[in-house]
Amino acid sequence: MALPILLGMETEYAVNGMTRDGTPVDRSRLVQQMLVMARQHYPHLRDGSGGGLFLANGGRLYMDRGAHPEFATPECDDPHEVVRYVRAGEALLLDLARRVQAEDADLREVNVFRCNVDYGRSGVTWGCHESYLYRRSPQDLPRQLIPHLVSRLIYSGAGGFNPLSAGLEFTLSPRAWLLPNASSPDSTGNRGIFHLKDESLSGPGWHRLHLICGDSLCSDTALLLKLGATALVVAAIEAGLRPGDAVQLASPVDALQTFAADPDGRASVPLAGGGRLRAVELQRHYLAEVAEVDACRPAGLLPSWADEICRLWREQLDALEARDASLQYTLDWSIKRALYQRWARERMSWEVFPRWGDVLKRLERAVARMQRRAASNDEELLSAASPVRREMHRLAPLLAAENLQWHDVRAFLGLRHQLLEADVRFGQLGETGVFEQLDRSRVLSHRRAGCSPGAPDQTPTRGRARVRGQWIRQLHASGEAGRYRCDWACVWDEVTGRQLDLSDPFVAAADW
Amino acid sequence: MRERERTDETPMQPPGAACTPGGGNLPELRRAGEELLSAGDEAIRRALSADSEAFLRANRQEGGQ
Repeated sequence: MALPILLGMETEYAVNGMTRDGTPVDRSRLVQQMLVMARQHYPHLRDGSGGGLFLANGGRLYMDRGAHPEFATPECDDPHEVVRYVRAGEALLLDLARRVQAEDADLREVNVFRCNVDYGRSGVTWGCHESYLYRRSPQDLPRQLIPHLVSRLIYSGAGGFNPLSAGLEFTLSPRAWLLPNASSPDSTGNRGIFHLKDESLSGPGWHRLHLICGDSLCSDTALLLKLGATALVVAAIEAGLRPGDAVQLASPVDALQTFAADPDGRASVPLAGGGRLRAVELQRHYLAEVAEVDACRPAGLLPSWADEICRLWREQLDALEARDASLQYTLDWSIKRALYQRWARERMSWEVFPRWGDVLKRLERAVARMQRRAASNDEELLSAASPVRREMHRLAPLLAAENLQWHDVRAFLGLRHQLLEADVRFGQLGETGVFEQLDRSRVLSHRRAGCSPGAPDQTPTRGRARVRGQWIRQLHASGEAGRYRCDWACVWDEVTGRQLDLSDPFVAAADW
Repeated sequence: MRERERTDETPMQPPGAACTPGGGNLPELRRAGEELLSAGDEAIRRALSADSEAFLRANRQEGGQ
């Protein structure tokens, strides 16, 4: 009998808007307007808080803290389905943004971004959370999973720049720099690679692994592999294997940052029991452990999609090991690296970035030493009245030794702003997004069979999300949806108190 | 611009698939690489605002995760 597998994903999106005279629009107003449009145009039930909506595909749309929309996919038993619903959620948000813009003649544009971190060096992020159902004791998971979560970023990293750097440091995963702990119960600060939250949203006996360390991705291949490989590792743990025991890391946080800073894949990290491994070697270990489940356990323990995911997993690891050119058409970070290097090369050598980063870090330290507020923009920092003028003079010999000229710092800062904006625009939804443009130009190869979004109201094929979605559609059609509310584990009639229990995540039929 | 349908029939192979290591078609690999980079340059050029610093300032996250 197959192991019960259920997974899903929540993604936070950035939104901005501009009036025709160029004034930025209040973000919470925009998101509220998007929710109004969703209520008007999509069958739904109000959620428990009343502010969000459960949709006819079984997913949820709501406004999260920080005035951004968040879409949670329905629970699915196949990672291909999750990819389909992530993309369906993006199509929904783009549609809502266009409707908001069309309704208000004063609006010039409303934009939605699939980005990961705020490059204002504030340490805040737009989350991309994964959920995996399991039944083992929650204490078993961190040890078994952390080495996987640390090393999977070689294919699951969004790419971009270290959001805490004063310079421009390309990274496999911008979020990796905002995870200072191996594990933590927090999600808004002081985050961990492993999130200790255990809110099952299901009946007794079930747990929900809630991961906050992953990046939001544009590539279907990267997203499918991230979800599929992690679901299979969780399944291996459910089957009684202990895949993490042999590869405990001496310092998971240091290892994560080492891998994140190493797009060439050469770096190795120390293991707690001695020896060193590269990220690709850690991933090969997990892949072998998953294969072991099939080899040593009763047949049919893993789901039907496991073979395809393992094949894709192996192919991508082989490509990473060989530093194969195919990666730059497939994985988010590799596409970005190729593009950004090209963009930079026409303006400045990519190789001088670390040196300028070091100079800017020193200038910032000088500001901090003087206990002055940080300069509000580059012009102020570099002006004759700059608080760090003396530091700039002091750094002159260092610059000369590095073959840098002060007048180039402005060019570097200009390029830095361009590349950071390009990274935000990479995941912009709609035809102006960089990834979307490349996809339409047919120069990428990230798509996977079975990952194209279906109809907006299509529910997953199995599990409680199918029942939830069917009832949402039915109640909407009957005109009675207004008196019902919905949550992950329940639908209830506010007038009669009648309830549809969905606490069994695999419930197949409605029982009111 | 004509929009491309997002279907499962979309070719899965990279433009340079026939020339990945082992394929041995170096000119084709270079051509596909150049095509990607040119398209990327053009896409970034179209996407960037006139003032990237101002864009980033206006796009600050106000809370959230």
